[in-house]
Amino acid sequence: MDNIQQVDFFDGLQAGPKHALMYFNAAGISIQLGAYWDKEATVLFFPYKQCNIQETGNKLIVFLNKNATNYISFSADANFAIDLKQKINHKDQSFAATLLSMNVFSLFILVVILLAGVYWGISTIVPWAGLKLIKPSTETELGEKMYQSMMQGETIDHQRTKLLQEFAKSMNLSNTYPIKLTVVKNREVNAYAIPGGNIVVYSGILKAMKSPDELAALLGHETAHINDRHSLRSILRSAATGLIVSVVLNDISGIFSIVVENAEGLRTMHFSRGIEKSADEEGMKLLIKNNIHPLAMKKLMQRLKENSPEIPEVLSFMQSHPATDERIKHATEFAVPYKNSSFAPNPVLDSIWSALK
Amino acid sequence: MEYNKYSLVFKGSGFEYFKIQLVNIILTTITLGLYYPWAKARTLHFFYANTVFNEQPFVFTGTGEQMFKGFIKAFLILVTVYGLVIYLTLNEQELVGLALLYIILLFIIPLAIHGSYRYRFAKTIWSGIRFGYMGDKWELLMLCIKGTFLTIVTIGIYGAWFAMNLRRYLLCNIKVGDARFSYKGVGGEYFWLNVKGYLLSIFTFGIYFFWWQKDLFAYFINNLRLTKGDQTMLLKSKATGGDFLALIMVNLLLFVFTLGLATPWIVVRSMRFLFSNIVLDGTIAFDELRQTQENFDDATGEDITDFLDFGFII
Repeated sequence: MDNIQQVDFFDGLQAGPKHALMYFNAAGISIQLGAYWDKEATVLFFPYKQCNIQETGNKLIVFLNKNATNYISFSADANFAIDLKQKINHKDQSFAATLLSMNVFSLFILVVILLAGVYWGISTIVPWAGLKLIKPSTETELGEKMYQSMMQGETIDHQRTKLLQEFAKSMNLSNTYPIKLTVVKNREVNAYAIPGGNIVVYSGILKAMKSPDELAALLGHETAHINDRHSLRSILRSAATGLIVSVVLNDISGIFSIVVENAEGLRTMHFSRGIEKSADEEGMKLLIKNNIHPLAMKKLMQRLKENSPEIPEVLSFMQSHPATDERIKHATEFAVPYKNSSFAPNPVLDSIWSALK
Repeated sequence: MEYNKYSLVFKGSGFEYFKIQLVNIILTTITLGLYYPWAKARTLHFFYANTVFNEQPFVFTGTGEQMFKGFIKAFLILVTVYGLVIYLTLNEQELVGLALLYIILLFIIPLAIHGSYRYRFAKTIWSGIRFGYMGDKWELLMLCIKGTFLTIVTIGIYGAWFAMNLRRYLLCNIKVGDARFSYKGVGGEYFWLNVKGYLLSIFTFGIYFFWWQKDLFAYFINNLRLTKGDQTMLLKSKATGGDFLALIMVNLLLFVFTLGLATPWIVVRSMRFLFSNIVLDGTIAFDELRQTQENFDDATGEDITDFLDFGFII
């Protein structure tokens, strides 16, 4: 018989390989111990369906029974290896085998593309699903908690708060969120929106403004952030990034800390230019709806731009809203169609305004 | 009885490991993680096949299928536990939820370690001889509960004794065929070793850290032995603090300057370093080793320890 091969045989009883001879046919593998095939001597027979192959490095191991107690091992380069693999119906796990036969550089590129895809997918899906899942009422509830914790240590100007609330009430700002205003005693020229309906206005910014339509523009802008759920979007986006990072680094607590950081960062939140522009635009639409000239937005921005150098604080309103000139230009363009429209004065707003001042 | 010197080498290449990792990442990602057990099997096959004792490689006979079954079971168990805790937390029972979580983990972790050891060693074969873990899960559980309790009560000091008791229990119950491992490290020595290492590391601005690592490695290796009847194999570390300094600094530089891409090479060179620094000698005739350990197919414990990110601790 010419297809008899020399292999190392492990008998599952005692350590160490034994020299053995092996041949295989359609039915299974036959093994005989020793260096010469002896027709008279005992032959061990193992049917293929009990066999299993493991390929590691340059060695092939054929387990001859389910418990892997008996096995033979030989070089993976042996000329009969492919034939035997086929007989044992070893599928090489096709796709994995294809990958393993590729070169490292292509594999590396593949991994980079795949991970970039996953990153993109998660950072799209998480915010999308989050916006669907989180109801405005839940947002208001959470926003209220954030508001409570942010107001600790701030001095609230109750009288002005009440007036400002009336001011907002006489405007039609939001149908989805209950808009609640708070005036904080602080010389900073700043105002910010908390998801769910709270708007915090610093007394410094009230002092800087010269007319009621500027205040209306400010409220319009901040309300647009709330209506369009900009903070929530931004938090969700960071959470998605945090999710990816924490999966990669195997650290789940990362997500929570990112959410917390974001909540803390609301005061000074830097939205992207695109988001600011859209808030300006939505704010101007609100102004028109309330019969106020949209150019008030431009006026507001110019006023704050004039004021900002006088304010020594780092976190002034204008600084947290980048590219002011660009936005002024955008507001002017938006207002062009309304150039000749006339907007009736609003005596209610005017009277509250003078009370505020 | 004949006195022998034994050899233990790791001959895997970083390049090959890197490739295995890349393939595993691709398959695990596109299957949303479900490929993980097969990926793990491929990694283990690589490490075992490249670890050679007395000219014979180790063989890992576990399969992706077995570990996948365990993976599903482990996933269900942990999802149930976390689901319960989240349910309690959402219903304003945070403290009850948290307490329950710690208690359940206190029970699950030892049982998972037990399962993991049974599976991993039953699937470890050297030269045709199966390893086996003979520990009793209830003894291990009691050991862990006592250890955790005393560690908390002593604000961490008992941790050293706990670690050594655990290591001793686990290692003393590992067999390869009819030979048995034993470990004689004790809490007191381990504690002072760490106190000394910690203090001297501070006084030397961190330089002693490498000698501390050397001591810890030596304390692990030198106290380990294998016995078979009246025959023994002793292990001894010959790594110096300077060796550890060179190893760790080079690893660090490799990691930083390749932005982590060199990790497979770092793992492989560390394995080579550790194995090449162990001297093994004694009187055991390894070709007379006999098969005594049974097979064991349930990989649930193995997968739970993976989920909890325990790795394979000793």
